[in-house]
This record gives sequence, C-alpha cells and structure tokens, in this order.
Amino acid sequence: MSTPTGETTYYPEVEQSERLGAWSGKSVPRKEDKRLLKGQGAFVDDLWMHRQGHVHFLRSPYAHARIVSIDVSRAEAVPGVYATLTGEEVGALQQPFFQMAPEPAGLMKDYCMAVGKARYIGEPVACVLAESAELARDAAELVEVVYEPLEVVVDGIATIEPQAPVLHEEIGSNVAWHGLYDYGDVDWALEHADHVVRIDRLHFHRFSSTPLETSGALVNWDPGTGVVEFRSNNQMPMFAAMFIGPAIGLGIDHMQFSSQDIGGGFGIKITSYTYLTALALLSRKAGRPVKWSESRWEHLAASAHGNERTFLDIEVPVMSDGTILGFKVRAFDDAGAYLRYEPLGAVIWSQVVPGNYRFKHVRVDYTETLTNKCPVGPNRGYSRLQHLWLIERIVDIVAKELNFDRVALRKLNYVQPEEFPYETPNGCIYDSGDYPAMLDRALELIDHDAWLERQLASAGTGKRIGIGIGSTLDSGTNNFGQSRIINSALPFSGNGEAAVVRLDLYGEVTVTIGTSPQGQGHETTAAQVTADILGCSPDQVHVVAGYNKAANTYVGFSGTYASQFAVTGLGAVMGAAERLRGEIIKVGACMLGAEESDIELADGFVRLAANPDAAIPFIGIAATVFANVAELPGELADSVTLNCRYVYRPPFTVPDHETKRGKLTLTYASQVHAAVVEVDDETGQVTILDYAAVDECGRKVNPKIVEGQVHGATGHGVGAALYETFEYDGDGQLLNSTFGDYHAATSLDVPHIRTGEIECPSPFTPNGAKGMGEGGGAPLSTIASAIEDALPPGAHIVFDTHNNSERVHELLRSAAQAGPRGVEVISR
Amino acid sequence: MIVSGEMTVAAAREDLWAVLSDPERLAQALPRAGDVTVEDETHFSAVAHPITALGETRVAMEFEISEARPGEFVRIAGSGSSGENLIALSIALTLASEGEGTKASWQAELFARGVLASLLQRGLGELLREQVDAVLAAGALLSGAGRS
Repeated sequence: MSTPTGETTYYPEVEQSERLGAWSGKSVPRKEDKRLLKGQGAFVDDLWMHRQGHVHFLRSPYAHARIVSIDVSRAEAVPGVYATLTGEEVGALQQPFFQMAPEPAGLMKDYCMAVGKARYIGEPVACVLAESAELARDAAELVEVVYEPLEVVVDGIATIEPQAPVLHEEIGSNVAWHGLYDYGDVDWALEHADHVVRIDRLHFHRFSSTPLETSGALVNWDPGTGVVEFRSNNQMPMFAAMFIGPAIGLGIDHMQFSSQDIGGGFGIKITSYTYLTALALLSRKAGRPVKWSESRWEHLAASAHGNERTFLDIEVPVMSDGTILGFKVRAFDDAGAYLRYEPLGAVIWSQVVPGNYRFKHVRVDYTETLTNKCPVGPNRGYSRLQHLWLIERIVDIVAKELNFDRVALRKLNYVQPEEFPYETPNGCIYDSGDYPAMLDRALELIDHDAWLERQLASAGTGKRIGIGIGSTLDSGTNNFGQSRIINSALPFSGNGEAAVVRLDLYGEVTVTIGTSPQGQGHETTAAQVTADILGCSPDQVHVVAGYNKAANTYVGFSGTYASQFAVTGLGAVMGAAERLRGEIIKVGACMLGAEESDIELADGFVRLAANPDAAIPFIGIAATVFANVAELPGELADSVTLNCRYVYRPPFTVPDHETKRGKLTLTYASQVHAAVVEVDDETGQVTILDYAAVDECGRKVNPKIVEGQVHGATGHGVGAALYETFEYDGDGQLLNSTFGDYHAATSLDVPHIRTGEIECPSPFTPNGAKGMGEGGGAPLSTIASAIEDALPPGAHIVFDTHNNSERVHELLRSAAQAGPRGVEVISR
Repeated sequence: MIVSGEMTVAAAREDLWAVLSDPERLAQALPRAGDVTVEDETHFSAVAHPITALGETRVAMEFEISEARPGEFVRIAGSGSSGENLIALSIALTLASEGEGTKASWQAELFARGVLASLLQRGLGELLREQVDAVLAAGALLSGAGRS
C-alpha cells in the first residue's frame, strides 16, 4: 500500500492517447469568448440574492496594535444597518485556521478577523452589514476601536533579532519555518573549484497580481439546511473548504461553492478563504445573504502579496572551463503577518533547485519570517520565480566577473537535451526540454548579433544598450507531497482532478470539470480533447462554465492553480471521454450487430469502419440507452450509464521528510527570454527596445491560448521588473495602494513580444502537454540581465528584481564611486 | 509629511488672528465640518467630512490652539480618527500685514495612517492645502472683511 519514500527511479512513461490531433493542437477559437466579449459573463458582483445585505470591512490603521475595545453601538443604530461582527465575536465563533507549519509556528492562532491584536495595516477588525455598500461603509466609520499601538517590524531579516517585537506570542518568535536544503557536497565544491564568486546580497521585491476583478463573494448560511452557499471568485474552492470547514464547524457536504466567470486570479484569489469565513459568520448572525466586493485599495493592501525574499552570503564554485558546480545561500522569505498558504507555498522553489542547469551541489539555508505586512499568498510563478531569479543572477554575475560569454556559459551549464528525463540533486525529474535550442531561438528572434553591433555603436551617446537573457522553468502539476518536507505530519502526497463526460438524451455531449477557470480557456481545450476522443466537433461539446461543487464533479483539491490544468484537468477529461467512448461503442456495436472492433466514431456518428453508411448518430445511442433500453441485452444495459467520471492521478511518490528529496512536480515547461533595453545615462530610465519569449510546454492543446498565456505572464513580469512594487514605511504603512502609485503594467508599458516555440512533449502525461502560464518570472531575470549589461564597468551588480529609474540611476553612478560592487571573486 | 503655503486675504491682521485663535469662530471656519463642541478657550472638537477618491470620509478631530502670539502667530494642533484612519497635524500660521490685507504663511506637519495615507500619497498634501486655504478664506469673512 505504501510507496517507498524518496524513491529516485524515473517515472514510468505513460501511454499517450493516439486519438488526439483532429482538434487538439489547433487554435480553435475560445468558446467562452462569445459571452465574455459581449459583456454576458457572470462575475461575482453580477450576482444577487433576495434579502442580501452589503458588507464593509473596517480595517486596522495600525500595523501592530492591541485592540482594547470595539464599540459598534453607533453603527448598529443607523437605520438600514442589519448587523455587525467584531474580532471579539470571531474569537468565540471560530476555531483558529488549520496551520500547515509544524510547531512552534503551527501554534499560530489565525482568525478571519483580528482577534485581540491587529498585525498589519488593513487587517479587518470588524465588519458592518447594511442595505447598501455605501451605507455599510458610512456606518463602519462610526465603529469606535480603541487601540494600544505596539512596536512594528517590517524587515524580513531584522524580525528574527531578539529585540524585535513578536507578532504571535504563542509562537514565541517571528520565525515561521526554517529548513536546511543540502544536496551534493557544497563544501567540497567550494574547496576544489578554480574560482569562488561571492555575492553579498540579492533581493526579490514584494509585488502582486492585479486581476481586473478583485475578490468578492455572495454568501448565504441557510438556517434550515445548515448549508452555506459560497458564490465567490475563490480560485481553489476545495482548498478554501479545508480551512473554512474545521474553523467554523462545517462539513464539506455543508459547503456549496460555485463560480462562473472569474476576472483573473493568478493565485492571489486562493487565500480569500479568510474573508469567506467572516462572511459566513456574518450571514449566520444576520440571518440573510451577505455580499462583499473588495475595493482596489483593499485588494492591494490586504488580500495577499507575492513573497519577498532576500538572499545573503551567496557563494558559487566555478571551474576554469566555466562549469558551475552549484551554490550556497542563506534565504529569508518574508511571509507578512500570517501563514495563509505558508510555509507550504514558499518552499515550492525546491521543485526547481538547480534551475535549468546541471548544478550538483546546492545548499539553501532557508528561513521564512513574519513581519507587520500584508500576508503573502500564491502569485504567478509562486516561490519558484524568486529562486530562478537568484540562479539567473548567479549565472550572469559569474559570466561577467570571470569573463565568460553569457550565451556560451549558459549552454555549457544547461541540462542538455539528451539528458532528459533529468534527475535534479533533490530527486525531482525534469521531463523534457531543449534549453540550448530555446536560447538560440530567442537570440535569433531579437537578432542578437545586430544588437551587439548597435551596442558598440551606442558607446558615448548617453543611451546605453544592454542585452539580457533569462532562462526559467514553470513546474506544473504540483505534488502537495512537498508539504511533508515542511511538516512530516501533513498527510499529503499528490493531487488529482476529476471530470464527468456524459451523453444526454438528445445526443448532447456535456463535460463538467472540478476546475475554476479564470481566463485559461478550459471550456475550449476540454471541448477539443473530448471532440478528438468522441469523434465529433468541439461545437457539439458543451463544457459547463465555471465551478459548481453541487452540479459538477470535484476532488479534494479541485480548483485552478499551479499550472496543472493541461495535465490534471485534461487528463481527467480524457479519461472520462475514453470511458464514454467505450460505452458508446458497446451500444453502437450491439445496435449495428457488429463487433466493437469494427466500430469507429466520426462526425458525431457511431459507424462501421468498413461501411460508413451504416451509422447511428449520438442521439440514437442516447435515446436507446435512456428511453428504449428494453431493446438492449440486459447485461449491456446494466453496464452503461453514458455518464462517465474519471479522476486523473499524477504518478507521484511520497517525498522524504529528512532528506527533502522527492519528485515534487510532474512537468517542467521552460522559458528562455531575451531582451534589449536602452538605459538613459542621465536619468536611469529603462526602455525595452526588443523582447523575445520562447516557451516550451510540451504538446500544445491550443497554441493561441498558449500564446495568450505567454503574453500575460511576460507582461506581468515586465511590470514587476520596472513598475510594480509594494513600499512600506518603517511604521508598516503601505505607501502605494492605488493604480496611481502602484503602477500595474498596461499595454503602453509592455513591449511588442516576439514569441517562439520549441515542442518537447512530456513523456509523463497522457497528452504530452505540460502545465504552463506562470512563466517562471522570466522577465524579471531577463530585464535584470539586460540592465546589468548596460551598466558601465565598475558599477554595482544589479541586486534587486525591481529596477525603477531611481535604482538604475544609483547603479549608473556607482561606477564612478569605486565603492563595493556587491561581489568578489577568489581564484586559485 | 510637511506641507506649506501662503495666502493673502482681505482682512486686517489682528482681525484674522482673532478668528484663528478663537475656538468658537475657528470651528466655524473649518470646511465641511459639523458637530462642533467648544471645550474651553483653547480646545474644541469637530467632525470633518473631507472628500477624497473614496467619497466623503468622516473624521472626528480634536483641536488645540497650542501657541498664540497676538496678531502675528498661531499654532493649531489636531488629531483624530475615523474607523480606519488616523490623522495628526500641527499647523503654524504666521501673519503679516500686506497692504490692507494679511499675508498668512503656514507650515503644517501631517501624519496619517490607514486607508487615507495609503490612498493619498500624492493627494494628501494638496487636500490639506485646500483645507487651510478654505479656513483662511472663511476666517477672513468671519473677521468682518468683505461684509461691507
């Protein structure tokens, strides 16, 4: 029954469907676009329930303060106010949320609103329900909260110093989790390397996703049935259920989640379960449905941020031929005030320990800490992009300091095409890829040689040209088994997804899936693979839009996250469609008086392969099974339902807690980006002159959708590299929480993207596809690389992911200051 | 945040100073303020309703005229909160005769926390400037200037 832990044999290659191809692989227009482009989508704020009230959350103006008292009497006296809910009430009504961290951080008492203490500015301390959103907001201003301010800590490293104020007394410190990841023999490598490159500090900044639609929900606690209905845009409902249920005493069967259209998620909408919990409690108290739509300020200040990470004392052993043996580093990840998906999420980087490279010796001394800032949560490229940015910085800095050509150095150290499947030092298996070919393609797309000439010609013009490269991975179909690495008591080891494909009375093919798409085109791609397997057109396949726990199928962690739909979601659809195909053929063979092997499905008909005129339309099969079943032999009638469910299970094993080894994800899409930037010598202004993104994600189901995802991920990364950053002052005040100050990249900021592709089908998935769409934060690495290439000799290294004009100006000036450059080389 | 400005109003210096140093009349000069309570000759409270991108925001403030030099200077300190905002400010106004009017030069130190501080990084100074200008203009009217 049990699987050996830490097993390092390769995955067995899976049998891949031969039926895909008529529709899969084609840029079929997105089915969902018809309603979305006509303004006919149904988003959470479009929903309405009889007797609903509107909610406003009152939020803490202090980053760290004891809550002495809350008086809601004046608010409740306002006509039209239905109810209020305070943190004190929550403390009595809710058990603290389940924690994934082991003790002591596992002792954290996290509630849906501040109980006793507020730990970041924007944390909800009370909420008001009223007949309109405006009235709720006005009434919330009448709530009187007495605070006792406490000392604040916002530095993710200083927070572990003994004198720092402790956020959660029950934990006793601000360390959320610490682990040593030690693979190979770093000490040996550092001792025997020809060169050791030492980098003082690199910093990955805090930013977020900015979906067009912020979080929201319409929640109703039905007092008669005890069922709580959550109509929300939470993107991982069953994960939310895992937190909400135990916290407020609800079984999974008493929680009904649904959503239709979601206006972007990017991971940020996974941790909205805290708000859903508060809304459920408020609905129960008020005895009416409650509706909440998050404002943009609330979203930017108090939903979830991406992880900020600081890397210290980096040492890189390098041989004289350019072989990089690995690296060691101390990493500090700032989780903010609570562990809403942490530390599980923050260690996802261990899926990509050596990045795209053959590094054998890696040691990461990893600490996650707590500060008085907004809690972090999943954000496109979650946790991997920080680590991959570190690796790309290492490679670029090594090339520069030791005078290697950056392209040649990468090609030398890349995992080579013939080495796949490739086992990393921590037991992960890279399924397929061709990174050197991707790099060649990216450089070809930007016409690298021509830009090298222009770079030389630009000398002395005041406009510095830099060329950058970023090579990253998008590990998809994640194994929650990595939870065992952080906490051996967490019984997770892989996840799956479910789908139902059925044939209805009039021959309609209907598909339901457990996923909650936010723009990824699930309706289209699910229809494509179903059409291939059933021999019909995607137009004949109705994929039910959105997520509905009661009406659709689901499994424990259903939702849309972690670049896995192309494998788990479509794997489930394919499995269910194959089962339905088998049933249709059985019935068709019986009706045509033929052997099953004589039957084919084509053009929406069941027919004899040797005589296509002998054909029965799907309606004939369905009508017989559902309405004329007496014509079928009893044994056959008993064995078909035309309603087929399948759960796709990725072939995972259980990672080993002690060695931190294991197969942590199934597929590895990859990205190689190349960029050309112009840096203004006087102002530090960075302008992207050219940009190429080459993506490899196995066999594409719908190339146009893939290209859209590449564009989105690239735009997100460009925005973070140059514009988007959360800045806190020393008091924990977030300084930029509007689109005026937090500049989310727009079409005016993102350059024209030249896209290229290399296809290396995954041998581990039933359709050869790999999850994609997160992009590994490739633009962050690429733009940092390009800026560094543009800097004058002697300048400080590019040490941060976010490089606005001010920071680049400082880097430019550093060349003349002859100060520390943040790097040193020891050669033997 | 330090914000400064100056404004010339059509009121005699002593008359304007008399308004600015009198809690009763100063409270009347506050724009979009209500629920005024004068406690003594240097303290009063009021509920201000500044308009921001969020709409009208209710801020309950307590003021103190903390320093006054007859005819030439007054310092007003205020602090308050709404549900999710904290505001503290100190405004020093220096008055000088300019023709028949008065030139009021002022400097304010403003501290804000919460939604407003986060939303109005670029707008808070301007909002304060508008409020001070409105107080000075209203103060001039209350001093009797322009009535004739």
